[in-house]
Amino acid sequence: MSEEPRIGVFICHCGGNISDVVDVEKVREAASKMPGVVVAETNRYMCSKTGLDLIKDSVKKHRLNRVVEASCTPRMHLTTFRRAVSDAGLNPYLLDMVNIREHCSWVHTDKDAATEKAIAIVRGSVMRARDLEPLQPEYKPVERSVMVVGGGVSGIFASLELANKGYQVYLVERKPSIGGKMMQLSKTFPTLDCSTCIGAPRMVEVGQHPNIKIITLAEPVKVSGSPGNYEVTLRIKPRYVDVSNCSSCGECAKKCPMKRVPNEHEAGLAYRTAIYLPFPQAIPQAYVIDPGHCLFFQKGTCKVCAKACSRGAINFDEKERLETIKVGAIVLATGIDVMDPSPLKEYSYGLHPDIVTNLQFERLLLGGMLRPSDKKVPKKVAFILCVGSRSPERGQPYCSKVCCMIALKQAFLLKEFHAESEPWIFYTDMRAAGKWYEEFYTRCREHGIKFVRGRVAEAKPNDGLITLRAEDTLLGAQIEENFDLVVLSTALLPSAGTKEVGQLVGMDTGPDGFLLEKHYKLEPVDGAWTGVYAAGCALGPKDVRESVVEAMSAASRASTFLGGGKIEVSPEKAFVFEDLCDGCGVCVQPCPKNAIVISDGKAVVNPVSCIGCGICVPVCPKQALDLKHNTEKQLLASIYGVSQSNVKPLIIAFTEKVVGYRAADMYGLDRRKYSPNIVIIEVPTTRRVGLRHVLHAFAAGADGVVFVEAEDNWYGLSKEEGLKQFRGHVSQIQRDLRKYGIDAARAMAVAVTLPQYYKLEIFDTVVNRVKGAKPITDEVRAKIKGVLSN
Amino acid sequence: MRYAYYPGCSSHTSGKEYDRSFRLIAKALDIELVEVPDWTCCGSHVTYVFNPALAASLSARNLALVEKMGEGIEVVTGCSGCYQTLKRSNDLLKHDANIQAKVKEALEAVNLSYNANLKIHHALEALTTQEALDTISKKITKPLKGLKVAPYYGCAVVRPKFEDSFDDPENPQSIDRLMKVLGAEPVPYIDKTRCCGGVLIMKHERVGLEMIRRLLANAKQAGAECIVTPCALCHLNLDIMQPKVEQAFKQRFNMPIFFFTQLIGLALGLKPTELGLDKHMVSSVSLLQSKGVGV
Amino acid sequence: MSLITRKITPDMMDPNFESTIRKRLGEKGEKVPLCFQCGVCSGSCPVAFAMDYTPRQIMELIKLGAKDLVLNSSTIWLCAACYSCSVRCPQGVDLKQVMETLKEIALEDPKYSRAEKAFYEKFIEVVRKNGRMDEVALYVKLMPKSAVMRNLGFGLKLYQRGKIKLSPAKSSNDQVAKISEKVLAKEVHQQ
Repeated sequence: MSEEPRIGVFICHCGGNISDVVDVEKVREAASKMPGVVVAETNRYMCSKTGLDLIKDSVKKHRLNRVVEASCTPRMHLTTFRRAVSDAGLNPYLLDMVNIREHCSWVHTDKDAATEKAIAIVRGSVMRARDLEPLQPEYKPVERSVMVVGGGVSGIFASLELANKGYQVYLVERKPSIGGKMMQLSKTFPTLDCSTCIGAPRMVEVGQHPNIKIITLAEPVKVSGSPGNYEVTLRIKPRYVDVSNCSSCGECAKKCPMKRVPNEHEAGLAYRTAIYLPFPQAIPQAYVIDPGHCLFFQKGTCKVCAKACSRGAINFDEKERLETIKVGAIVLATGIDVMDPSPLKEYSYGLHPDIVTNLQFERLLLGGMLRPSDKKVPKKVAFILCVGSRSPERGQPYCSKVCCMIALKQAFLLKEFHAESEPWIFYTDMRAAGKWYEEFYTRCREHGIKFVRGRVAEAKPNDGLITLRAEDTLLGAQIEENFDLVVLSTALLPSAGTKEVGQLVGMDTGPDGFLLEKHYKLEPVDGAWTGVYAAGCALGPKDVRESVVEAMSAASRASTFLGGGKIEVSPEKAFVFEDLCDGCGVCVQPCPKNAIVISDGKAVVNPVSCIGCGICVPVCPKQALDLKHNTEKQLLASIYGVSQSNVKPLIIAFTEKVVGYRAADMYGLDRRKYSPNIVIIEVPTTRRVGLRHVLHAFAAGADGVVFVEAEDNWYGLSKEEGLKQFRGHVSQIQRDLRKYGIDAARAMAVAVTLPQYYKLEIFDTVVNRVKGAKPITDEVRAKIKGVLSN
Repeated sequence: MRYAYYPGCSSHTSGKEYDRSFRLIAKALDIELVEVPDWTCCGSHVTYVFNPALAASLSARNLALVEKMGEGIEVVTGCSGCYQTLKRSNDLLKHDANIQAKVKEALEAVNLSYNANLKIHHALEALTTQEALDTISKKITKPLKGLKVAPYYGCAVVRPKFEDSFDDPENPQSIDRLMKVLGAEPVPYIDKTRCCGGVLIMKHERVGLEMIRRLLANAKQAGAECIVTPCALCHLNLDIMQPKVEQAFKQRFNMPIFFFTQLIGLALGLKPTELGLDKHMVSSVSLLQSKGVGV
Repeated sequence: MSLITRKITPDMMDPNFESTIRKRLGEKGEKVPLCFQCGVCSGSCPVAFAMDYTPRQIMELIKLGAKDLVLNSSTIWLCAACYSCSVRCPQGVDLKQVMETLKEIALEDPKYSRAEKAFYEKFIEVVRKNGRMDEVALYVKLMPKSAVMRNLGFGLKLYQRGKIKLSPAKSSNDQVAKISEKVLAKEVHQQ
C-alpha cells in the first residue's frame, strides 16, 4: 500500500443496545488517538440514513481511504455499509466492520470491562484496516450449456425447461432411447393419465428441439474444470446403426435370427431380436444392435440385417469412442432401478411365471391383462406391498414411497379390465399422502378392492396357483389363500452407477444409496459443487409429478447460476507468492476443493475452484500462501490489536465465519453472558489459524486461545472427516505449544451447530481455567518473540 | 471320509431305522462312522429353555468326547434337533464368556474340557456334497423310477441361519437334488420347511395333530406319493402319528414317510427290511411294489 | 379358559417388563423396540392358528408392559421354536429367542407355569437320571394315567416294531447327573 492510511472510525450507539453498556464516547476518544485514525464519530443509529450520510460525508471531507465500523454483527448490515462506502467512492473491501453488540454489549455486565474490550476490538480493526487492500470480484464467462445425465421424465423436463430458456442442452442417456421408466408404465396415479400418451409428445419435443442434443448409449466418465466451465468426457458405445439414416422400417428385425432375447422394455415378459427398436415411441427413432446377443459379434456370422436394410444404415465397424463436451452446469437425473426380488425366497419370484414385479404388471396391463402362464383372465390377484422396502434386515431400510399408490392404481385398473377379477392388497401401511391420493384410495375401496393389513409371510407355488400366507393383523388371525396371479411391489433402488456418477461431480450418496442434496430442506436440488444439480428419483423414490417439480427446479437453479452469462468470483481467494514457493506440493492435499496444483515447479491456485477457506495458508512451510482479505498481515494486525486489551487475562476466540460466528451472535441475541476476557476474531475457518498465529497471540500478550468451528463444515468435507481434521489440527497445536512452555489447556476447541450455540459456555470455562493457572512468565513470552523474529 | 457319529437319543426309539439305514448306506458309500463312545443327550432345545448353561454343558460333554477321537475329526448327526442344538452350543461357546465359564466348570466336574473348534454336520449335508452325490450316483443299481416324493426338510436342519449353514432356509435344495440323483421326482411342496410341531404332540396333542394333518394334506395336493425327511422327530410325527391324524380328522392319507437314508439305500440295492421299512407305522410295501422300486 | 381381554388398563401395565426382556436378550434386545407390527412373524408361524395371541400380538403386549397377559398366554407354550419368524422379520427381531426368554421367565414363577412346567421338569429329570432321553419314560412320567391307558394299544404297536423299549435307554455313566448338579446348583439366572 503506497499511500498513508487515513482511517475513519464510526461507532454506533445502536439506540442504547450498545451505549447502555459500552461507553461509546470513551471508545470514540480512544479511537481518535490510534495511529492512522483521522476522524472518529458516533451516531445513535449508524445504519440509518443519517448515520450512513455521516460516513459518506466523512469519507469525502476527511479524504478517508479506510473505514472502520464498530456496531452490530456484520451479518446484518455489512452490505449496507459496504454500499455506503462504495457510494462515497471507496472500494468496499477497504471497510472493516467489527461487532461490539452481540459480541460485547449484549454479553457483558461489567460496563468498564466491556468498554475496555470494545476499545480493544476497535484497535484490532484499526490495525487491520491499515493493511486492507482494494479488491475487485472477478467475472468469468460461463458456458451457456448444460449437461443433463439421464433421459427419463426428470431429464426430459429439465432439458426442455433449459432449452426453452435458450441454453444448449446435452441430454446424455445410457440406454439406446430416452423415456426412462415412465414409458414402461400403463397409467399414472391418481389421475390415471395414459403414461405413454403424456410422455411421448415430450420425448418428441426433446428430439426435435434445436437446443437439445441427445447422446444415447453414453455415460460421463470424467468431469474436470470448474463451475460454469465444466469439461465432461463421455464414453459412447456403438449403436451400429446410423441414426440419421435409419427409417425404423423394421426389415432388419424381421430377418434377425436371434428372436429370444429378453425384452427390457417388456420387463422380461416378452422377447426381442438382437437388432431391435427399444419400443415403438423410442427417441431417437432408430434401431440398435445388442452385441451381447448378435450372431455377428458372438460368432462372426450372419449380418442378414445389413442385407435387409435398404438404406445401408447398419455399420458393424462402429467403435466405442470418447467425446468431450464443455458445459456450464450439470444436472443428474439418473433415476431408479426396480429391485430383483429373487433373493427374498419366501416370495418365490422366478419359480412361477405368475409371480411378477409391479413393473412387470404394468406391462401386463398394457398387454391385455392376462396371466403370463396360460394367457387366461386372472381371477384372484394378490398385491404384496413392501417387498424389500422397510426391511433393514432383509432389504432396504427405507420406504419406496410410491408402491402403495402403484398397487392401488394397478388393482383399480385390473378391475376396470376384468370386472370379475378380485384384487387383494396386502399392506403394512397404506401410504396415500399426496394431492388427491387419499381420494383415490377411497375410490379403490368403493371399487371393491379387498385390503388385508399384514405383510405377507410367504407366497409359494402350489398346484398351478400360488398360496399366500399372512396375518390379518387387524383381526389377529392367519390368512391362507390361493391366488392365480401375485404382484410383488418391489423396492426401488438408485439406478446402477448412481454412486459413481455422483462422485464425478462431488455429489455423495446417502446411506440409502440415493444422491445427497446440498441441504435437505433449503437446497433440495443442489449438489455440493456450484453448478451441479440433481432431480427426480436419483435423489429418492418419488412419482412423476414430484420428479417434474424437481426437474423444473433444477433447471431453474442452473439457469440462475448461468443466467448472468458470467459468474462473480469472490476475490477472497488464496494466492501464491511465487518467489517464496519452492514447489514442494505440501499444500495440494489439504485443499478440500483440489484447487491447488503444482505447475512448472510452482503452486498454482485455481481462483474459481478456490473457496477461500484458508486451510492451505498455515500448511506452507515457506509461508508462500496467503489469503486475500484475510491476509497474514491483516490477521496478525487483528491479533496484536485486540491483545492490547486491558482486560486480563485475555483469550482470543478464533471463530469460523459461517456457523461459529453466527452461534456467537445468537449467544448475544439470547443475552447470555460470558466474561469480557474473551475477544472474538472472525476467520474463514479455524484451520486458517496455525501455530504461528497462536504463538503471535501469546507473544502479543494473550493468555489463551479458543477455536470455535462448525460441526458441519462449509468447505465440503463430510462431517466426520471435517471434525476429525479440526480436532487433529488443534491437537497438533496443543502439542507444539508445550514445546514453548505453554500448557495445552490454554488452547481449547469447540465444535458447534447453530441450535447448539449454548456450547459457547466453554468461553467461561476457558477463562476460569486460565485465571486459575500460573500466569505465563515474561521469559516464555520473550522466548516466543525471539523465535518469531527469526 | 471319516466322521464322529453322534446318533442322538431318538436313534434307539423313534429314529431306529434312521440310524440303521444311515449306518448301512455309509458302509456302502465308504463313509466311516465312528460312534462317539458313551454319548449322552445333547440337551435339545427343551433344556435350553430350562437352563441354557446346562444345555450347553450337555452338548459340550459330547463334543469334548469327540475331540478325543482324533485330530481334525468332524461330527455328523442324523437327528436334526441334535444338529441344531450342538451347533447352537458350539456357537455360544465361541462367543459367550458367561456360558464358557459355566460349561468349563461343569465339564471339570467330570474331567472333560472342550475347545469349541469342532465342525458339526448333518447327515443330509454329508450325503449331498457334490462328492457324495457323485459316489451315490455311481453306485445306484435300482433307481427310484420316478417315485413322486415330497421333500420335507422340517425346520431344524435349515434354521436358524448359522455362518456355515449348508442349505437355504426358504427354499432348500439338498433333498431335491438327492432325489433327482436317485431317480425319484421331487414334487413342488409348499410346506418344505414348515415345522411339524415337534414336541407339541406330547402335551398339546390336538394342535400337533392338526399341524401334521396339514403337512400330509399339502403333500398329497402337491401330487406326492410319499414324503421324505431327514429328521427323526418329523418322522415320528408324520409316520407314527399318521393313524391318529386319520382317526382324529376322519381323513385317509396312506402316505408312507421315508428317511432319506432309506431311499438312498433302496437305490443302492439294499432290501426294504434291511433298511427298517417294515418298522414304519404306515406301510410302504404296496407303494414300492406298484412303482417297482426296491424290488 | 380364555384370558383375552378387550381392554388394557394402567394396572395391567408393568413398565419394567420390556426392559427385563431386553436385558435378558443381551445384544438381540436392541431390536425389540424396532418391531413395527407388520405381521410377517404371525403369518409365518405354523402354530399361530391355535394361539390365543399371535406372535405379533405378544410383541405388542410386551411394548404395553402387559406382563400377565403375555405370561399367561398359550402362545409362549405353543411356540415350537421353529425359527420361521426370526428368519423373516424385516427388523431383525429374533422372536424365537423372545419366546424362549418368556418361557424362561414364566418357568421361574409357578403362577405362570403351573400347567406347563411339568414337561420341562420331567424332561430334565429323565435326562439326568438316564443320561439320555426316552420318549416313553417321559410320556409315562408326564401324562395322566388315563392318557397312558388310552394309548396302550398304540403303545403295543410301537413295541412290536421295536420303536419303544420297556426299560429306557441309559448311558453307562452318571456324568450327565454330575454335570447337571454342578450347573443347577448355581443361581439360574442373573437378573
